Amino acid sequence: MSDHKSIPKWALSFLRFYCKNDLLEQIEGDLFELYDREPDPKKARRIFTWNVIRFCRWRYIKGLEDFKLYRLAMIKNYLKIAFRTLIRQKSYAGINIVGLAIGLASCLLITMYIVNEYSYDRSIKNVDRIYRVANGVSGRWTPMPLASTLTNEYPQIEASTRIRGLYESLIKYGDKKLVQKGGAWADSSVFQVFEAEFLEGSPAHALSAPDYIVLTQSLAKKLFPDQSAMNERIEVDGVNFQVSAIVKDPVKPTHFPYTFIGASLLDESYGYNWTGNNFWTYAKVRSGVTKDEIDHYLRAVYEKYVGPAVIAYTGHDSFEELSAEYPDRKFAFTAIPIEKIHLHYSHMSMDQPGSYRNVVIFTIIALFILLIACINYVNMATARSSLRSKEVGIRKAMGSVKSILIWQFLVESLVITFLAVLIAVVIAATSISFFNQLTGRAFSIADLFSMPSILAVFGLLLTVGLLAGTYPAYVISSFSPVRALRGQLGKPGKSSLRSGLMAFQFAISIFLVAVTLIIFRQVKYMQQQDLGISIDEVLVLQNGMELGDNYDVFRNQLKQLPEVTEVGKASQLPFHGLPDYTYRYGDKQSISPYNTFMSPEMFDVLGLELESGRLFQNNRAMDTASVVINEAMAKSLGFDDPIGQKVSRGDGLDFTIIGVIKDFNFTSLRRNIEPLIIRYGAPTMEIGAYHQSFIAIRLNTSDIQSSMDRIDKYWSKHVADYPLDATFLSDSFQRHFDSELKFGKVFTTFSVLAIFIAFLGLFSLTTFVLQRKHKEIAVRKVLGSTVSSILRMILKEFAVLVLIGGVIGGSAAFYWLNDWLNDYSYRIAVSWYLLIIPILLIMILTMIVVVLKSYKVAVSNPALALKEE
Amino acid sequence: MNNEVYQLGELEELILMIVAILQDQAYGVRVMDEIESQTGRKVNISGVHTTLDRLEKKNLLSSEMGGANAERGGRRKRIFSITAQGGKALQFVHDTRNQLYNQIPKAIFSFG
Repeated sequence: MSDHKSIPKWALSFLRFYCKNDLLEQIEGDLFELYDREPDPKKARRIFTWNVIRFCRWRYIKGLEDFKLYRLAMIKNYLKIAFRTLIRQKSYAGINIVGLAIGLASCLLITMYIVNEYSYDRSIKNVDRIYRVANGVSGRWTPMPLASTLTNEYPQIEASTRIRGLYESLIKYGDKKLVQKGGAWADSSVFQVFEAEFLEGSPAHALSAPDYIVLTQSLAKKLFPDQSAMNERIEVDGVNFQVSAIVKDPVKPTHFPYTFIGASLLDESYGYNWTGNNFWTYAKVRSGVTKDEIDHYLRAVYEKYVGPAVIAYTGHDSFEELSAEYPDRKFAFTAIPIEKIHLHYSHMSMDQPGSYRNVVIFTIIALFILLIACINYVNMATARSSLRSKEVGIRKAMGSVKSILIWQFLVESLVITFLAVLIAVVIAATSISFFNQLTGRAFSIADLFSMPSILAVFGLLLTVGLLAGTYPAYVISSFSPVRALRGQLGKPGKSSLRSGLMAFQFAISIFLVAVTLIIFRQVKYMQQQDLGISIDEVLVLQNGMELGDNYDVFRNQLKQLPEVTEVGKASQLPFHGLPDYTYRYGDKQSISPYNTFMSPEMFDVLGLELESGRLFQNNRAMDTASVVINEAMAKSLGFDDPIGQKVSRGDGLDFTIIGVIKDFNFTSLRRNIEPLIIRYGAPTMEIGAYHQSFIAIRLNTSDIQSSMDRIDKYWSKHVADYPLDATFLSDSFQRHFDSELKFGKVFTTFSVLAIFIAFLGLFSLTTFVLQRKHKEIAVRKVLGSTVSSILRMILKEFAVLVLIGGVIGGSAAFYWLNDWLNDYSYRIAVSWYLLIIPILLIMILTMIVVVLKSYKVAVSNPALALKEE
Repeated sequence: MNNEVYQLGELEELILMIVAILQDQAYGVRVMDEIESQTGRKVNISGVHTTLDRLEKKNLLSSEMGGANAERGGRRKRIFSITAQGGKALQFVHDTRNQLYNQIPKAIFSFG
């Protein structure tokens, strides 16, 4: 006798679940027999399970035996009934369909967005083997020799390349001029890492000479519409190049959307050193090499080459001592899979940066809106059930069974969903440009009809249709026919599920409104902060290095203009992104403040105030070894009197602190004011011509346009190739709020949609509640109730729901927003009244809807309602 | 109905023959074992069942439930037997094959 207890239970239950009863015995018998004769119990169980799965075929599954043609006839009938019902109740159907359609359209657009965000770089060949090498944990810039060292010393690394980009360049060909985005400079190994399809030329020779340049197909066509671009000579930013190959455009979306790659990486100007970080490094590993292994090698490389220089800076005795102090990867290189760059390391991307947070938020919002729309459907369908009780009663009396009725109601909800999907597609297609504004992407209508979106449509159709349809279908179809025909169905208006769902809708609406409100309050708060710097009248010119030695002439010319108060130059300006430099000070200590080079006049242009000491004087020989620091830097250094103290860049590059200026904001207001060092702006080794990248002009005029024209006139005299690129510093400051404002706009849009859908639902739900209560109201009036007391009674019911929703939605918003605001150094407090406003708003809107709908019932003649019986 | 054409799948033909050989012993597991021992071919039990069912639907096999047996956890077997029609089908397949086989030039078999 064998023991069948060890047979996998779930497999047996599954077999019994699906198998036709009359065939079950023989199949079970055969499976038991096979099970018993297998000596190895593990294998026996496995075989048993496998066989159960194999038997799961059409012919053995129960319930399918009566799937016959008459079923098709019934489906036809269901469809007919569904359409008749829709036509009979136009307003109800309309509200349902519009609500669902808006929810579905949001979902569709958001699906498209998310699919796009996750498809970044997926088309790159062997993408799983390509890594970006980060300096420290996620630093963008890496030393010049890193790439060649990785390729030469580590056989696990197949290829490695340096890239700089993507730049906007001026391309000249004959008398043609073109300002082209997406230009990169790279080593010849770039095509070993990022394999491209070569239309002309070959990867081996593509970048083998310093004046070679590779164009993408689209750029080649743009430059040479009628002939091959191969071997033609073009001028890029004033340097002569020969076109050495033409490749297919990189498949988008990608974080590296180049249009051309030039070979001219001038090693000499950077020197073979491991302490200057001027390049981006990419590495492709051999297959089978894991990220852990690569990270291990990268730490070793750092220790070997960068280590000695670092401990000379920091003053540690050995690299071990240093890395013991910083067990994270602060002093190492780190491999970052390039698929992760777009969403998780967007500061490294060369395309529009992505944001994982936005993907999550968009997903949640889409689900919220869809949920509200589904809740509407469920609420309305169950509320309306009394209206259809007679139909159900008669159907049951005529011999219909529950399963057929469930089918009928499911088909009805699928029909509604199907119509909603059709409208949703239209809504999505028409709002695509608005959606592009919200997301900062460039979707076209064609993207909406791509495979993932179509799958999403069908998925949504089925889930929403079934999700929203199942519950009402079960409720309605389970009416007892006798009671249904007599019109006795439960107590009206007391469905706790319906109230719960309604409260949940209010909660979502209140949450979204609260979030919107607070985002905009926070942005406004930041915009009104005192920056400690006057930015409104400062005009910033880019490409200052193009002026070269003519800067002084240009400056004098501008100073002649009556509206120009002062002109200065700098390597970097506030709100334009400052690099950090590491300095050594005191005994073995180091600090990495933000760093910029400024001419003496710049302090007046920006209106910086001196705290102690002095500013630069216009005497180059004297002040190139002097620095001015801000208060935050002085505090970090910790000297009693910072004036006269020295900081060092190593190698004898020592600087004396001559002045401390008052703190001012120079990055976004997300962060507190951080240490800043200002060096004298001169073409030194470290900065070269870039010390005058930016020219800043303090203007005092109301006629900005004519000033601009005058400045442009002088500019174009000195710089032929680059048009004047002038922006106000205040605009650059405002641009830091772009992401927050966009975020706020997303929430505004979706809160409006959510509230709209929820109130569509509320509107029709009120109608049905009143229809069922009209007798109660009539009796109350006969017994002496006033219109206002009746209104109050109805309002109370909904007010309670809004309050419950307010508590849930408000507290969710409170916790989430506090978390969000913690990212900001300058933040508002989430006070109670900011949460009360959304609740009040929803409350008032609810009151308006309910009063409008119920007033008519409340004032109607009670005799009319009562005589019906 | 003498010139009736029977179309049998390869596995169908095999199982039809096995059932005919086994006489009143033919049920799922036994048929599967017999196929393996006679031809070396492994067939999943579900495949055997499906084919048996299909042959029964074509009226080439008939079946009845056998007696209970303790070694199958008390489950009865379903015993298949070949019908007159099934016999005809086997004969037809055999004849067709032979007819074709005889037309093959003898030289073909001398290589090998």
